[in-house]
Amino acid sequence: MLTNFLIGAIALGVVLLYGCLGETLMEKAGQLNLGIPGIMCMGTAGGCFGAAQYMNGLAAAEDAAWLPLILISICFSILFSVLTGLIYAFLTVTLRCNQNITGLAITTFGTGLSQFIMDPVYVPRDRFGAASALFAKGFVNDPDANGVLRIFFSHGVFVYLAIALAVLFAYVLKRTRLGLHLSAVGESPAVADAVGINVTAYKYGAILIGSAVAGFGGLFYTMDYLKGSWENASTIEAFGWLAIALVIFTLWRPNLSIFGSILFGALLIAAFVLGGSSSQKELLKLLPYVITVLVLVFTSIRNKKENQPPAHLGLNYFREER
Amino acid sequence: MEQNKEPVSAPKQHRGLPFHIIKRVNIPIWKKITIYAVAIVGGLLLSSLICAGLAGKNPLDYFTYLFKGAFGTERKIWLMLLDAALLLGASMALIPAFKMRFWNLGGNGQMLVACLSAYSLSYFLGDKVPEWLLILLMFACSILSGIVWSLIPALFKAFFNTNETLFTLMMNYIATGIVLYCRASWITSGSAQFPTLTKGTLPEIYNNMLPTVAIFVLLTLFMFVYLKYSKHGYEISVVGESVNTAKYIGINVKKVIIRTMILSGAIAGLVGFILIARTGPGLSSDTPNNMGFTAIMTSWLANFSPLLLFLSCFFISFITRGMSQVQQGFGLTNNSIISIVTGLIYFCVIACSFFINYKIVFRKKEGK
Amino acid sequence: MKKILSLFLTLVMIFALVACGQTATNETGAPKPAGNADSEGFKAALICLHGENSTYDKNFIDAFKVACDNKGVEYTIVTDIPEGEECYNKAAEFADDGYNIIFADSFGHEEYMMKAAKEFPDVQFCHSTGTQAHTAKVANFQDAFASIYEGRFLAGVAAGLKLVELYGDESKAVSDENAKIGYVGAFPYAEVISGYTSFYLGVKSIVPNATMEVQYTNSWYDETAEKTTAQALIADGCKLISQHADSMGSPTACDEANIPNVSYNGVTSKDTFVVASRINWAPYFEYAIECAMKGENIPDDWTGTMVTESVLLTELGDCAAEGTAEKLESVKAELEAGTVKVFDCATFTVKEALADTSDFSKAAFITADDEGHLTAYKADVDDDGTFVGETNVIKTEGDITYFAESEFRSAPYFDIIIDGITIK
Repeated sequence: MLTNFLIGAIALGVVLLYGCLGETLMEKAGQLNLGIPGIMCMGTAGGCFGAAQYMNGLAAAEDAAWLPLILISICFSILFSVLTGLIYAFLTVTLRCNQNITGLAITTFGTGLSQFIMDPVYVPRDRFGAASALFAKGFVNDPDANGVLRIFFSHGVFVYLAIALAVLFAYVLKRTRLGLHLSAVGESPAVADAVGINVTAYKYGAILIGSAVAGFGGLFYTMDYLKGSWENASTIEAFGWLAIALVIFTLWRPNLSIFGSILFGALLIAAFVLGGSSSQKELLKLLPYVITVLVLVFTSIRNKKENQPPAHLGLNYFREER
Repeated sequence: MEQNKEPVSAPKQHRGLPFHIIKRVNIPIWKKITIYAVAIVGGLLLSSLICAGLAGKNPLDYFTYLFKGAFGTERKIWLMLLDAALLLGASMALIPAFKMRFWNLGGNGQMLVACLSAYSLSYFLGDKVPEWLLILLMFACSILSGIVWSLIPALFKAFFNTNETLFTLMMNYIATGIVLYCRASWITSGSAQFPTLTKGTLPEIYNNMLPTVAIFVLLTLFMFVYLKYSKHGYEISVVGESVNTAKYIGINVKKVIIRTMILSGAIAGLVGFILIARTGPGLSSDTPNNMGFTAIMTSWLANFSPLLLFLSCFFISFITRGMSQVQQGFGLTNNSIISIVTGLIYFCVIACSFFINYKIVFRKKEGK
Repeated sequence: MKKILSLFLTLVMIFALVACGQTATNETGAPKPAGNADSEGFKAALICLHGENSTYDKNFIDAFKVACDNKGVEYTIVTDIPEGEECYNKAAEFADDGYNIIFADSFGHEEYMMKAAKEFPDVQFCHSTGTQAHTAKVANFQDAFASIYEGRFLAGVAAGLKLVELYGDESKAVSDENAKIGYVGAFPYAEVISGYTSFYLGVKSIVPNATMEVQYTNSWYDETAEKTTAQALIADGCKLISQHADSMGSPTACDEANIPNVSYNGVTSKDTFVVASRINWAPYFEYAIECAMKGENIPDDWTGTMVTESVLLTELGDCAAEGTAEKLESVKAELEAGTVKVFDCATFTVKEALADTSDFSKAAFITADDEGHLTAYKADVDDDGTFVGETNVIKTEGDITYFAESEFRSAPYFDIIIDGITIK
């Protein structure tokens, strides 16, 4: 069970990691996006839509090939989540509307629309069993194989993609000019603007790329973890909120996010692995949130500059006010 | 910042565009209401087309159902007023905080802990204590729990500048978890339902909704006066404008934050108390019915002003009740439609707020 | 600008007038088939906890539409009504609106439906899965359920056959180690306990040395909890999993581990799917509507059975063992004839329950013989909130002494943990 526990923790962690990476990118640019739950749902709907299109275009479910399936799903997922993120970007960056309100509206809209799209009329799921087998195909697929090998090598492509993206984001943010400019935009857009950085372009870019990445989280959850089944958007929406918490928990650092998200994933299922009475389980379910609060408190008390949120987070930039 | 770099000569985003954007300083109230009204009507029209299109019905029926759902019978009108009153309460809990730019997303949790304490008093003491005392205790405990739940993030914000948006958000989940824990511990039959109790109910006047409506209308008026004319209200708005300015003129910012959040929590506690005591006390983790988030929308729509709040709460309540009727009447059993059209209406209103805050000025063709 | 404001106000007034003037067009439902004059103007309503997106509610919604179409009555379905005051509000609104019969689908709707029933004595209020109708004695309020335990028993038989196919030796015996099954339950109360006990007894009728491990998730719908719990059960040596929880978490875990799965409420299209059982509410809806139309009294408790087609099994999955269909047919016939009883006291013992000294112990209500078979049991049939059993539910018919589930009240009240079942 330890093996299954760790694999489950990594799987749920990856769902959160995608949302966290997307939100981190946006927050680095100064955009607090409470619409991530809705964007994650839309990315899921998009990816599933793409997968259904591909699978139903085949003569038989067994003809499905890994590369075209994954690519088509990714493309549609990006399309849907980016369009949703575009609404947020337009409203908050161009029209400079309140970020919190807009984000909440996006979550309401995105969860509803994704649920609507996932109706079996638009996304027929009868061939998703075969499709999900491809999503989940790892290097080691035998459920009876050695535990350690399974923990590291049995995951589907989206798990490895998530970790690769996290490492990439960490590198870009810390060591490239692009990343430093982005941080500048989030810290002090007025200053960034004054030295010629295109604040609007960076914000849009962060939001759109972040949306695309976040959307993969839900897609992975539905097609890999749940093997292609979907009932409603509520579970992915809940993950979205947890991902937003994770951003703070991991101090806006993508490489920390990898470990933080797996820890959260573990806490989410700990109650069911350990067993115990109903009331004990409820206490265990609380742990991720309590720990996030503790981290919030701890980092603000110590008040180290590099652990603080971007200074201009949640505030819109209007040049004439500078 | 590099001092020797040439600053950009013309505003990049406006290069070549025939207009530019200016922030408005003041806008007459009627203009603001008109812009919102246009947005709302536009959103409703869009929504009617979508709903009717999906159900294969006439879009005009959408409006019929909308009004019927809110005004159709006396009961419906009272339910709508009740919803609006509760929203007023929830919004008044948030507005003092928002005016201070303290983004309190924890309304749900604050109301829920108040509900839990009120309910648990009725559950454990219902038969042991006279009714009037029980109600008094429930009232006091609700207010107190709301205050405690708001105070925790407030203290950390005041002393350590801890991010309140996320702290309060997490407190919501912790509150839900505590309620579920209590449910698992107290309900030994395992049915996972808190029973509806009989003790600890407020008396009815005409019906069980009028007292609630009256209480929250009065509360809103009181808060209007408090925020606009009292010293506290003045301090809140200064802190909201600029923390530095507040410090310079001698306002103790920490004290203001703490005091305001105590007020915020107390009001949330009041809402929680009413939720439990209005009718036979019943509790679930959903009792606040997500008002903590809806109230954010109504508060923002009202621009954090208590008087405009009457309009925005009434409007949101009207839309919610009306759309439920639309869903029923159109036979839409897929509940995603309501989220979609609600989101669209929100977008219309949000987008319109741009025209309230900013003005587009067309350039003359001098080539400047 | 003032003109725009007045234009807007005019528009609002126009819409309001339109609203009041027009009567709402036909709300939902198919055009009435010609014939039954009683159905003119008869309106039925269904109050749902969630919506079509939940398999639990979809089951009710689909059945309701079928029933109303068959009866030729106008109907309305309202969704997302939580277990609170809103249920009362909606029920009262329907009554205000001239509806003749109102149904609700979730356990927690009961008291609010009852409250409305007391206020509108001319309208019928029918509540599914409820427990209080027979004690409340409100003439126009009634409960309904179905003998789903028979469905689960049959599903258990199918499961037992699968175990034999996988692990049985020439004499169709299965070793103790391989006779272990797992169950993912939602909450530790009667409806769930009755469900898994009947399933277990079904397995036991084929594999006498079967044992079962149960874990609760504390939620009716929690995908990750159910998947993780199923994985834990499998890791603990369970060779087959069943569940009483609404998501696909458990079937997914079974699929990944190549463990057979018996489901509830719907077919899972997985290779490891054996069979599922579900309640078909259409017969009850039709019966209740029929009674209401004729002005007849609807019984306080109505329990659908396999005979009324209220309890159905889905088609067998690829994973089902050979010969399952025939065996199920024969057992079903025996159940319908009454020659086999699901909760036959001779087939199980309650020694551990007798020895239980915890706060949740049922020992005080049990009377058993020397071998541990039940001879009498005071079940908590009258749901008065005290959780104390008061009605002896052990009956003897012919030469079978059995626990009469769902006979004293439609909703289940079997809440004993019998020997062979362990709760983790």
